[in-house]
Amino acid sequence: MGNDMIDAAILGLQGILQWKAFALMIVGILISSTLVAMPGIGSKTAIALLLPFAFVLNKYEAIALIVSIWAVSNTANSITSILFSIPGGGGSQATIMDGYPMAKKGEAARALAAAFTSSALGGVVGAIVLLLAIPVLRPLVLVLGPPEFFMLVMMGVVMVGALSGKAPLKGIAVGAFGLAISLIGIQEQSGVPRYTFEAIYLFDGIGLVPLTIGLFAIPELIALAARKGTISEVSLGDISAGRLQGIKDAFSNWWLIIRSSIVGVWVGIIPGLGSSVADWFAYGHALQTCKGARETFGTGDVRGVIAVDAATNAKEGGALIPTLAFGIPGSSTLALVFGGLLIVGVTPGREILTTQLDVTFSIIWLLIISSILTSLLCLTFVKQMAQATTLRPSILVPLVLGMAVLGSFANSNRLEDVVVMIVFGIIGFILRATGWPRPPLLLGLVLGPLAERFMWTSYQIYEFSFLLRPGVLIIFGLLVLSLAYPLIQKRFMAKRQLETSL
Amino acid sequence: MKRLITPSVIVSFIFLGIFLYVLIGAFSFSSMPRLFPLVVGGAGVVVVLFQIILGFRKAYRSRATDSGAIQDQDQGMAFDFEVTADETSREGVRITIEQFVWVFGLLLGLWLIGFYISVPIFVFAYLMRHGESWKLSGILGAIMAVVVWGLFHELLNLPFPEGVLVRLFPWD
Repeated sequence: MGNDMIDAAILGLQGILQWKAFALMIVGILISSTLVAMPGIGSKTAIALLLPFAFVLNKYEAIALIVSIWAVSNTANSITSILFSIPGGGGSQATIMDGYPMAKKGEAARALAAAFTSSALGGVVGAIVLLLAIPVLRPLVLVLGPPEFFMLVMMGVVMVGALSGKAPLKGIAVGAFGLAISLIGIQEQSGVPRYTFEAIYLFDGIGLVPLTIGLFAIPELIALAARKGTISEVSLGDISAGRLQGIKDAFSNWWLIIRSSIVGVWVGIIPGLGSSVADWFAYGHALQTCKGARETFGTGDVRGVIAVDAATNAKEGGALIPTLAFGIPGSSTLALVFGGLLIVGVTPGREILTTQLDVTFSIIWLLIISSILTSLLCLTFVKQMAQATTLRPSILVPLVLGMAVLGSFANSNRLEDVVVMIVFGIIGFILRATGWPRPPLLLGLVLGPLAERFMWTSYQIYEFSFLLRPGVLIIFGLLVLSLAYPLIQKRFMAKRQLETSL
Repeated sequence: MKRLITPSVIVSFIFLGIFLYVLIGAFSFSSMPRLFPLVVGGAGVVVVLFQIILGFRKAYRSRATDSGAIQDQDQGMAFDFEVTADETSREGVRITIEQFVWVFGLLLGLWLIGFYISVPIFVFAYLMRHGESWKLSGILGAIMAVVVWGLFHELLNLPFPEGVLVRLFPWD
């Protein structure tokens, strides 16, 4: 780092450590942690609520408030995923896969502590990677064109689908079903309504929030009622010990945290991709690379929680790269943060990396400090949160269902959102009951519009020869390699076992 | 003897129908909005056809061995939760149906009398039906009313629609 960068880093830190800016950061953390923990209320709502305050604050104060709300949302939205199998927001869906089974095994405190700790570590790693990556990644991102982005997106859908346990075709089919659902509505580029059955509500497409709540929360609530037991099927045991174990788990899996954080940062860099898929990419990566993960993931393996939470928080560092460097918000939430920066006279793009470098550093400091503070805050209340899993279903089901209905309605303020939630509740119930995985559906829905946009642009520029571009072929090769690796590994292990037995 | 047509195979056929619909529907669009549905529908049909063949093969083998072991091979899913025995028991099925009735009842309530009234009433009624005390049911119902009014309506400025009946028979 040059002297100018060190000066900017010190100036940025001093700016957010002023008492008023620091107090506003704490306010942002408290508001975001509380609101984001409620299903359907994401960091977007929290930022939108507080954005008008930016008009009466100075540069550092406004940035402290807005960035802290955004930076901590990924930590808090794991709470409902782990405790009730309800994603708190985009990015916390994969936390359910091992977090909820851990809660069922009486390990909610351990899962929450592991999630919060890895989230803090992921946030710090993400911020550091952001710092180091800006000069390196800028040319790399510029090299990738629409064909490569299209392949990356399709790789996401196929990878998650194919990693769906012992029935990869089922996973890929459900992923394709998600892509098909993403087709519903007015097509972005042409304005043509597709598969809308002339229903005006469907012109805007199917909302991610009601679909996610329906797909996961409704079947799990029904299963909870049918089991007649509490979420935690066993006694919670020593919650303090569970909390300590979760923290230890995170630190002992430091290498997994670093790998997942890098996955998160990389996914975050690609505009529009990061917000809802970093968790699945990290989960898929951990499933493929962790020893014995294929047997234990999905049944309450703490590594599944650690990988996801590290990646989702780290991705924010990555998402900042296109936002700050090119003025392209990496997600819709970042678009609001972008708006907040404009209000206080900071223009993302060239300016923020040159004449206002202190602002960039203050954002990086905020990412680090607020990630750590939020995790400490959440760790303090692990005991109270874990006890929610011992509530009777007769109390839990109506309260969570009531909140789910309100959260779904908040998607676009229409009763049809609740209908969508219920329809996908039924679909989720059928898929679960008949052995079809649900998560690839979400990924297909999220990535569908992006895949279509990249595909059409690629086709317009290169026609179908875009499939033969070197970058596309490399990504395709990586995809085949990742799909084949578990099979090769399985054969190798079988051969080795046979040799040992002989 | 195991059945050849398992619930999973039925779901495969439903998916096949959906992908065929997407594929056929794509031909009615112009080139730009047609390309991606063609790819999704076409790929979906191919994948599901393979899955159907695999499903039948497994069911056939399972029937031949009469053990069911082969058929269960694809039930362990790393990316989703497995169904427990409690849920598939007779009592579990009864409770499941009842829960769906509650969900549809809540939807009907939202449509007829709106969110402000039906959500707190739903919470109260559900708690009472499941043997909770009047006191607890009342308190939790009231808390839900505060959440609907206070948090969503007042703080987040989220206007909930009034129900059909409330619009037909306004109170003021």
